Amino acid sequence: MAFVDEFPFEAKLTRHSFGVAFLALAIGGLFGLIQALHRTGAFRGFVSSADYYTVLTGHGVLLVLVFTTFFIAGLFNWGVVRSLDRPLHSKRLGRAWFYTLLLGTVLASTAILGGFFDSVPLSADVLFTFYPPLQAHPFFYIGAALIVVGSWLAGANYFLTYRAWRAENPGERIPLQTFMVLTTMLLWYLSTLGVAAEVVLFLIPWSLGIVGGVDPLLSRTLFWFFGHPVVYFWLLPAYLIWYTVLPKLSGGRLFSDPLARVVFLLFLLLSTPTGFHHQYLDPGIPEGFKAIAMTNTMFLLLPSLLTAFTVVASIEHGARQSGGDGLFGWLRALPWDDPAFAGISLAGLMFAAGGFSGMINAGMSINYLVHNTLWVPGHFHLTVGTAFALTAMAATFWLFPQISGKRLRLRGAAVAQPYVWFLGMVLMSNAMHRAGLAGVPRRTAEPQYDAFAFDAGVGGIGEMRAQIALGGILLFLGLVLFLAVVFRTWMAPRDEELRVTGTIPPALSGPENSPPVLDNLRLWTLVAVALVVLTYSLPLVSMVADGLLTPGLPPIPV
Amino acid sequence: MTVPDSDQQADADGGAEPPVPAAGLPWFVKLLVVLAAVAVAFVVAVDLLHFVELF
Repeated sequence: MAFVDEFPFEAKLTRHSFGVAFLALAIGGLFGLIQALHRTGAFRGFVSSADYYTVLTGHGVLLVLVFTTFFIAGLFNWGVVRSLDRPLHSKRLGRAWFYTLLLGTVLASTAILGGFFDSVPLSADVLFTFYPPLQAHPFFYIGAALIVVGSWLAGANYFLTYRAWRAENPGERIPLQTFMVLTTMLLWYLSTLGVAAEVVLFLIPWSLGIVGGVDPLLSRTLFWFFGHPVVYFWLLPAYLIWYTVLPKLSGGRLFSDPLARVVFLLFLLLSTPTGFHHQYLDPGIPEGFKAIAMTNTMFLLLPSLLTAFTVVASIEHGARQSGGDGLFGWLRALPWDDPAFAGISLAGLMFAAGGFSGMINAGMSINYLVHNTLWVPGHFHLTVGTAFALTAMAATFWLFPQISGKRLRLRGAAVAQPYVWFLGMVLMSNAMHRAGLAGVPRRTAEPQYDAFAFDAGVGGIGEMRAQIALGGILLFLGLVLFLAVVFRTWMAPRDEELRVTGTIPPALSGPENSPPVLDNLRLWTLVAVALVVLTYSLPLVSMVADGLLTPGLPPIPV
Repeated sequence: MTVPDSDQQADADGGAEPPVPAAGLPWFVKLLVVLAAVAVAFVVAVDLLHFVELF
């Protein structure tokens, strides 16, 4: 029985969540195309260079806050209900998180888009990293706060659903997808405390004129308390797909359930005490605490490498089950004509490249080479822009039939879509990385390189700009293909039979091969909180020692 | 580590996807795959040239 028939309310909630996510993806993606053409000088007729920053804010907020949060909430909704095989604890709470998220999105988007019109007294050209001294209209901050509150409500429903399941299944191991959802939400609850404090205590009163000023360092620190773990809030849902859906699509099974649990716990423990690595150039934070953040960030490579090993081993197992053999010959036995498999696999491949450039970002000394250059957007277009976004789009090709009861339409476009996205991202992201090394700044409408000679080893600024523009056009084409497939499928009548099943075969090594302490979420949450306290308490104390709204004392030497 | 029942058993449990009629990549996707491979080779070559230049 299809998911939509077994759990019609939950399927509808997931479908509508995806609908809002894809609308945000469409608008944010269009803004991305405009940016790529504008800053490379390929075409500057869409907006003025002053409005470029409105476009940039819209691109960032609509994609990495709205698209991600709605998609993840819908995906987790499906994952919890499917793996626990029971409906959500509360339909009312389900509606509450959806409409809270929607209201937040409307408020924040209205504030951003108001920046295009001089007659509208709204503006929020504060970019995705909305900390001071840039200031937005209060609507923006209230909207952002509601988006976070909506995600909290969604998480509460997952936990309540799990609690109801636990009451009927004492002693059972937590089903893997639910385990992944709960650990990700614990990470999210912990990390969003920072941005909630920043927005509610400082930014909303400041934008309303209730307080005259805020401490920029404290605000930045609270933002990055959330701003790096949010990366894992995007990534772990992709991991959920890679671990539980990709092996099945390849014709096999997950290699190790215990390893997957260890990976998610490591992310819960280490994701939040890393935020200072975004603040290497900020004065007022002791170097020793920056070094601790760097160390924690580097430790996070371990669960990512474990993931690479486990997922590749799982799909190799699937390929060999399908007759593939040889050292690399098994790769040919994989279903590359399945858009879901191809998209998720290519997303994983690009994430490997993103991980390498992430190591450069996280290195305290070498970070200075790339800080605030185009390297950084080059990096995160591989991670959130592909590892998450392409996984989300590809997973939709598999998931949407189950939550709608409709067979995927425009299959040719769906098969082409991941390859178009991959091609576009190879060109755009690599050129952005190279441009960053050459010193090209990020967040600049018209970077100028005409006044001095640029002596590159190979290529030049013009060639990099051309690749970025071409890559941006291809990515937009990939987005249009995706939206056309979803729209056509959504509008189609229901089918009698689907070509996909939601059943996920058990792992080769199941949860019985791991110690039950892995499922003790209270214990791991306490350890995660302790690590955050150790990392953040002294620097925060020094920042607020002489008042919450004024710059703090000199840093404590470590 | 014990390996449980076979994948065929997992398929029988409903894990396998029903076959999709259109098997194999259409020609335009094959073209895209070739283009993507060329793009990857190109960017890797350029990156290596940058890297060599550093030393």
